[in-house]
Amino acid sequence: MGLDFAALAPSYPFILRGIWVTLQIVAVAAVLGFLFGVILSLMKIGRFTFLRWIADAYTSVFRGTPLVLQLMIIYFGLPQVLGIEIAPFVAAFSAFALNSAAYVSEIIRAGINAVDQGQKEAAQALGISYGEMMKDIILPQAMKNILPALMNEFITLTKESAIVTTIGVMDIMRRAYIVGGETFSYFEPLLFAGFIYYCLVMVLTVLGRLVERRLRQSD
Amino acid sequence: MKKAGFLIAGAMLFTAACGAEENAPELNETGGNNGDNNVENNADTNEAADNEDTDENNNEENGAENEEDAYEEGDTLIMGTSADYPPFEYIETGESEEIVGFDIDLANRITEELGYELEVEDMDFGSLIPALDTDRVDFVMAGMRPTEERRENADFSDIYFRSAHSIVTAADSGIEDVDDLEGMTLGVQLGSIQEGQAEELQEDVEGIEVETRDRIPEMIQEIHTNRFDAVILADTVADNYTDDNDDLTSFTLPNEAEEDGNAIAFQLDSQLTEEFNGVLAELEESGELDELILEWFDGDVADAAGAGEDEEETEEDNDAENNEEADEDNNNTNED
Repeated sequence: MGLDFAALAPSYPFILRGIWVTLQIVAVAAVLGFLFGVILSLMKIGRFTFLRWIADAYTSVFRGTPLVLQLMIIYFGLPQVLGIEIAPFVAAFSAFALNSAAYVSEIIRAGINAVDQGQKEAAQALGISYGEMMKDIILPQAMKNILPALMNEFITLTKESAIVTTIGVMDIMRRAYIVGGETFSYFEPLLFAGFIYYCLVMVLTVLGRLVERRLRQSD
Repeated sequence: MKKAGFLIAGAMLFTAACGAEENAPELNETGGNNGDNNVENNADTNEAADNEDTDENNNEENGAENEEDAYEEGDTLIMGTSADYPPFEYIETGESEEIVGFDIDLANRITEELGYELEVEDMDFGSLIPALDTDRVDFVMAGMRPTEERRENADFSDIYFRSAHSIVTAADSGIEDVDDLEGMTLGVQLGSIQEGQAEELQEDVEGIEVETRDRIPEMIQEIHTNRFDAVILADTVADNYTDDNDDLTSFTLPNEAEEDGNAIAFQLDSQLTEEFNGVLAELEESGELDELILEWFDGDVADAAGAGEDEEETEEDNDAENNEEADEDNNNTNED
């Protein structure tokens, strides 16, 4: 099997323009997913049984069903049921954010539980309110420990974003398919897309290391 | 950007949370007393909850519900397609982001005649019928064939393009006609009309094993990997592949079935089916349809569409095509 990457030369910019699309989806989904994940994790460790029950149910549903199905339900199902318009881009980042939040909440919960119990007791002894204790004392310490796990989640998110091809968002993967269709060559555009994803993940990895080093400065 | 996105997602979470119970009955009422719910929605989305917004919101929702029988001149029709199928619909990825092809030109011609605006939306082939079902697109042109199964979920126009099926094999396979397929593995695209054709072949010839793949390029790849001995494709598509790959060859199957051809898919009971059929008949009568077919399938264009293996050739072809495209672009008011 001969691979001919030169024949694709005019089409490379077309695939490369998908990077921006992918990055937008992943960035918005990562930020929203993280924020929502924090809320969920707080619900899980909190005192209210009802909130804990909701957060657990949410996590089990979003971890227990395929992401591509969640995406389909949001993109095809919701507009029909609710009669609202959902743009492909919005459907994409919503699905990823909602899904990612379920995973992130478990990571953060683990991080919070790993912070020494004495910290909490000391904060209570000093009369610091629950909210402030979480924000200023517990969560910052938890973040440091769970950073590698969070990076894992963001990397997964970046690569998983390729499933938006099913709803026709012009991301890196969909563009690779289209180039494949146009040039009647299958492997070359996909390998090129793979190379782009690899580079993106490498950049994420380096960024993660930098943040990690920065957080460890105080050790 | 992030803030806007956050608001939208916030609104989505909100609607998703309260939607199941509260919004569902609302859809059945027309106008009426559902203001409260909408005001709440708007307060979250737009931070503005005046009456005007509420009305707009109502109109939008009702509009989406009644769309099937409320197309008027000047409306924008959204056409769903899968832009990886030259020369029916594809993107000249070296040149632009625009979807072009035979189907696009024909869609432009028909909607122009009927006084609609046209917007083309790309998605996976498998998502097209669901998109039609759920009102995301108004019609579908994607080299689609009106099979019995599809007719249950969509209306179809008259056939606007007929083509035969071809069997594509490796050049050194020695398969020259249908009987040579005995005991061979035959690949077919999942959900394509050729699936039915493959089943017929299975009955006629002994020991054919049929396997499906999602995409045509994948099937061609399976010939290269020796998992498939042959694949069955529409003959125009098969020609493109054999022209571009010296190690492939093909032969055409006798064409029998009546539904063998491409048709436009609409929502069930859509008023568009009849309107489009009317224009199709006119175009067929005036010979314009044949002209379009010649324009896209006369070999030259089809060859240029499949950028060749040889880079120099590709550039030449693209240059030659530029001029043609420039003219066609004028007709294409789709794609924003």
